[in-house]
Amino acid sequence: MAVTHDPATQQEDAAALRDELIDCDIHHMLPSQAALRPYLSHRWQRYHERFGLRQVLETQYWVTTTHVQAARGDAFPPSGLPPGSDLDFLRSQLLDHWGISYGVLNVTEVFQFSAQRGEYGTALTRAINDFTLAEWLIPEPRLRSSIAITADNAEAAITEIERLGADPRFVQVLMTLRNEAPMGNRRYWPIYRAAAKAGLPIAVHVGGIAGHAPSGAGWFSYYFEMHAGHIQAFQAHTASLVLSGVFDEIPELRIVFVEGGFSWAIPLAWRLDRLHGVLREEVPNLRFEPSHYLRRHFWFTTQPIEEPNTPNQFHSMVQALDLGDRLIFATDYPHWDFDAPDQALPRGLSVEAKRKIYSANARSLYGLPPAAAI
Amino acid sequence: MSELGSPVIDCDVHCEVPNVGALMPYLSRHWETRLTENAWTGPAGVAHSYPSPVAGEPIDTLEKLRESAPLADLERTILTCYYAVEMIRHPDLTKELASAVNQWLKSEWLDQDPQLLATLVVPVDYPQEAAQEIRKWTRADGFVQVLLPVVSQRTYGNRSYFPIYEAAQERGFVVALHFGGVSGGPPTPTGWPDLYLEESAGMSHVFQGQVLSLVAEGVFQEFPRLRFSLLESGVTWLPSLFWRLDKMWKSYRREIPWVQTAPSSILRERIRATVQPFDAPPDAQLAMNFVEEMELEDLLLYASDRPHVHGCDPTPMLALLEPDRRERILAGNARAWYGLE
Repeated sequence: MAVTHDPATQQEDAAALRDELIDCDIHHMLPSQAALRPYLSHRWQRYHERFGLRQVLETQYWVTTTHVQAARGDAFPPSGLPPGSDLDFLRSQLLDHWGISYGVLNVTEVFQFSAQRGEYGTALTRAINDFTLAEWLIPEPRLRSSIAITADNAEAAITEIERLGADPRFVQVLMTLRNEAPMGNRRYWPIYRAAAKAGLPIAVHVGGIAGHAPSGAGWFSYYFEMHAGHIQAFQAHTASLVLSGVFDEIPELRIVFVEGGFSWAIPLAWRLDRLHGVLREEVPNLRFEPSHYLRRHFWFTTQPIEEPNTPNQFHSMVQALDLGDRLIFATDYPHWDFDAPDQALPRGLSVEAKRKIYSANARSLYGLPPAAAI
Repeated sequence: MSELGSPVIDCDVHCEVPNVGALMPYLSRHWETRLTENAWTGPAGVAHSYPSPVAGEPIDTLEKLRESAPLADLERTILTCYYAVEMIRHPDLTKELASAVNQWLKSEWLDQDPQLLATLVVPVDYPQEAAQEIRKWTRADGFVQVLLPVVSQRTYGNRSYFPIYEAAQERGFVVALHFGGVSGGPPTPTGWPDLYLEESAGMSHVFQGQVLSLVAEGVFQEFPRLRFSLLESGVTWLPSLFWRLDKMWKSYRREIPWVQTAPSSILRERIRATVQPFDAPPDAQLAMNFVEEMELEDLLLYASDRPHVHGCDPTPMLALLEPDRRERILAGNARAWYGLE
């Protein structure tokens, strides 16, 4: 954030932070691939070691980036383990340092594991969920987690949701951003039904490997484009979800967009309403205008926070769709583009508005008990 | 016909090739024979991009063009004829069709009314041939820009397209990215949409991908006089994209060192976007506030996009703007952009 040393901002932030801070996007990971062994059957251990991950080639975009393992330079633990894989270090550098009462984990491996085909993908997502539970959620009561699934294998995904959904430590179901089809496609509805039945939102995090070009206009050349371009897929999913009628069919369905920003959603809501006015004969069963669904069924994590030229533009954008209770704070620890809780939000937001973003919105979304209870 | 009290340059008006027969005088004997034998009726991509609920009444005569003008005091009209030549993969046919459309535009429209200007059609996936086509024409013919359908096989910043930009810059043409296009691939990063509505709404993110690509690949540095118009793109997504590009550029400029200033400052100089459709709150006052607060007025070009149906009318919003700003959007910006007297 450009405004980093403004004393007034820091005072206001301190006031809102003292209340409570919930971090809605933390990335833990395996310390090594061998750490997955206890959670895989002998067959899949062998496969994992001798064949390994397929469907990962697109990530070669990483080669021209400048951040090792996409991490903050200071997030490499003294233990020598990879960033985000050492619970003690994460505790002290993130949870204790910022006074975080709850942190929601999105395991790093999900972005490759969930794209693996067939039974291998099923075995990997199951194993990584078991790893998260045993080595992160049970030892650290402040942590919650997403359930990793293979979105393009609905049957396996539902099995996983039903296996873990009743455990209050799992607070949402995680889909990667890029799948085989836009999210309104009916192949995904059984997953949404299972999540809604378990009372869990569907989170969508940047990442995934779909086999399609990373833009509607073809392949990019640079990582800069990949990173700036993720918002295109979020927009495609939003249009697809809203127009598909899934929210009429599954009214409890809640969608949490992680790491995608929010400001694109406002002009998109206007665009969808306008087009719906002209083309409603194509979606005769849709009960409301598109913006109605966007306003009610979507949440957005703040990192990477929007940085307009003036703080007022930020407020105007939030106000334009009345999204004040739909933004939830996230740091994206341990990644290089970490948003520091005391600096990320723009100047001039009221303490009340900040409190909602820092904790109240996430608490109500995830139904988290008061921090004192942990 | 509503009045806004100042001259108007309409930067996006669609004339339509009435049937393939209209192009036959401009095609070689070979293709005239082949297309006639096959009873071909034209590329399917036009109807794909504009199905009947949004197509409107086709403008295929000068009379229909004049009758359809929504505003009085029309100073200039820039015609765009989208003919979906990009969906013809045969290198000679796509090239000949593009050339035929340009000749048809010249003799049936530009030569008939000196107030008209037009957009060149090119075989976009054959950039060398496209550049040859561009060099056949000059500003004196009435052409002011080159049409690239926004849905493309590769993002338009890609170096393979540079011959097009070199020729356009040399001739003083703007490059116009326009709604629509047929690439053969899905028009989203995550697969095929089910609905036209979805695809049409999603076209704004395809524009975003193209703008992003032009910035990242250094097109604006490589071609320092080249400018891009976004036609039928929507405009209210621009601020959000500017914020994101500027933010990512701060972090990743080492990867794209030729981008030496914030992307938004480059784009504010080098792109313009047309006001139809205008995706905004239905309340004209709120829409105007958005334009002012997000500092969009210098980026906007007036366009009716007739005959397409968009379900919105930017006129009430424009009427609320102070006269000087309104005048710029209606004509001043376009005069400067296209170098019109």
